Amino acid sequence: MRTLPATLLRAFLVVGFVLFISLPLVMILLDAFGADWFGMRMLPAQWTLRWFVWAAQTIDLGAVALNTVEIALMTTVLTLAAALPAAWAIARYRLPFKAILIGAILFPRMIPEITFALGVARIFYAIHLTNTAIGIALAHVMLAAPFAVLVLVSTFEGLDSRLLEAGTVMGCSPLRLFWRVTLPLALPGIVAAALFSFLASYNDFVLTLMVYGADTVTLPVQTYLSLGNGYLSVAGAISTILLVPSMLFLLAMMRMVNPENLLGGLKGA
Amino acid sequence: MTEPRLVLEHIAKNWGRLAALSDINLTVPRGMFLSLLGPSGCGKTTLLRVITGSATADGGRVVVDGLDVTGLPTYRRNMGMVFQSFALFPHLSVADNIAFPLTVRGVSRAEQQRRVAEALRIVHLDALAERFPRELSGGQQQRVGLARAIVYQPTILLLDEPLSNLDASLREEMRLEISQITRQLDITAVYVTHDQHEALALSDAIAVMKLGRVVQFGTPEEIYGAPVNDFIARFLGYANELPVVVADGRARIEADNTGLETGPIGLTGPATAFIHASAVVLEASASDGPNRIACTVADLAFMGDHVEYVLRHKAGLQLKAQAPIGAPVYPRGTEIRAVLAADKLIVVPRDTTDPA
Repeated sequence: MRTLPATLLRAFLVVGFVLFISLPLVMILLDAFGADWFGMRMLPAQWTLRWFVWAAQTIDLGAVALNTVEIALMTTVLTLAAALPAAWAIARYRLPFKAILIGAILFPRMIPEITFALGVARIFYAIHLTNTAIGIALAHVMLAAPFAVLVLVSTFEGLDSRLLEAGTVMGCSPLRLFWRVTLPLALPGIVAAALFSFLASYNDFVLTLMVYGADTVTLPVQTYLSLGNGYLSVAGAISTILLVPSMLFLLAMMRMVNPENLLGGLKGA
Repeated sequence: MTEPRLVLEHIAKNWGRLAALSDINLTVPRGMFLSLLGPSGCGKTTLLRVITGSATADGGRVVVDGLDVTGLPTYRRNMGMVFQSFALFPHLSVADNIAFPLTVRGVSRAEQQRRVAEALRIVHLDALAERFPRELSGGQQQRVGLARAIVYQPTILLLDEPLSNLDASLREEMRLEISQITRQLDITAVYVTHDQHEALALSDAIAVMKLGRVVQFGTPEEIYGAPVNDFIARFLGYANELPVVVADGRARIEADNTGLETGPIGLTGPATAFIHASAVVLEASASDGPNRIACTVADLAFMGDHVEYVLRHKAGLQLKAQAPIGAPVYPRGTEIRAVLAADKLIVVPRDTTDPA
């Protein structure tokens, strides 16, 4: 039997933890929608949309948002194009130096991002890839690929080879087998990898900061620039806009993919 | 004279230096139910995969209906297969699983529906067409597996230990089902199993395999009545084995040189005599005579329709006997005679092929 104090303690810890994680988010929202909030006030005196209007008037928000989404989509496509075959090979074939290979793919996420970003920037300055969408997307692929490969490797390793054999015996050519059996079975993992890739790019700041230019400002970079200009509430407004896709994806992911599978996938890799 | 459905000629398959299959020759006429029977690792599943093309043989030919299909990819061989693990597609409903091979073959939607409905009726799953595999019991899943494997009328139906993942109670029911369906539809089937009961009950012919070779081929009656060596006799579940030495056509128990009356023996030297527990009769009389072995009752167990005895022979041998209900019951420690029926006592050579 659980005693009442124990239950209360659990509830307190869980609620406390959720509040602890979400407090920064609450602060951003208060900044974005509040005005006349100085001194010791717990909450803003006024609620307003003026910071969003101001952001829209002073900054080409549409272009910035478009940049961000465009780069994120390019990153997603490029990451999947690279990670799908790589993960398939790692999961389904015996490769020499498999551990070293996986280590190399994980490397960009293991070292400080600023260190990695410096290296990328050096190369991009040399070959004039800065301030290009494709350049930033390529840089983001290196951040997105490790997660994508991990998720896909565990997805492909989990594919039941007897199902593939069954499909073949029943008359599927290799191509048809891929479309009719392999792809449907692997789809949840591929969707998860795509979402991770999109968000890795969409949310990235450090690496983007090193290689962006006037034509390729993204929402996270714009948030930082607004902050640098002293407009805390405008930065809050842009951050709020920045949040929307992440929240939508999170909801979609919780509905579509069993979160435990996702964690299991990361654990298993 | 019609062409045999399946001919395997000199099939060989090596895994490194290990011979997984060596010189397999089998002919399967149309409508035959053939079982490949053997312990795990004997190559029976590998042979099945050579027939489907999932594994490539290193030598020999696979001939189907007179056509050499050795080089033909699996998906063009038109084989049907039932898997031990069921191997149903988890993302498809029961009906879609069964329709899968039909869609692959470009069968029209109306025809698909008709054939799926018929296949569902054959395996008695009409009511579950819209369910998903995870919602079915193991027995139901294997019925779907069977329906999916026969719905497109494959040239040969291959079954890889289809009953192994089922509960004991379901196994017999499913076995009867497989037997009826394959006979009704006149399907040529190759059935892989390590269970001698399944093989004996289902098959028109059995190929007993060991270490990648076919050790004996024949009807269930032939193989059960005259196993070619002690490995097969043991595998078929003969309860009693007595090491004997044969000289001048007469067998003597190795341990104490007692002579045995048997049917005709076509060999000399060390051999093994086998007899079923049900062919060992117990008598209390201490009189001596041919095939009357003096034993002590070591244990007995009431099995419902018979009583099972474990007997200790003075030379350390152990015998099992089954006595019908109603026969006198001998308690533990009783000195008795175990009478071995001469016509039920078979003497076979000892198997010399041992795993190296």
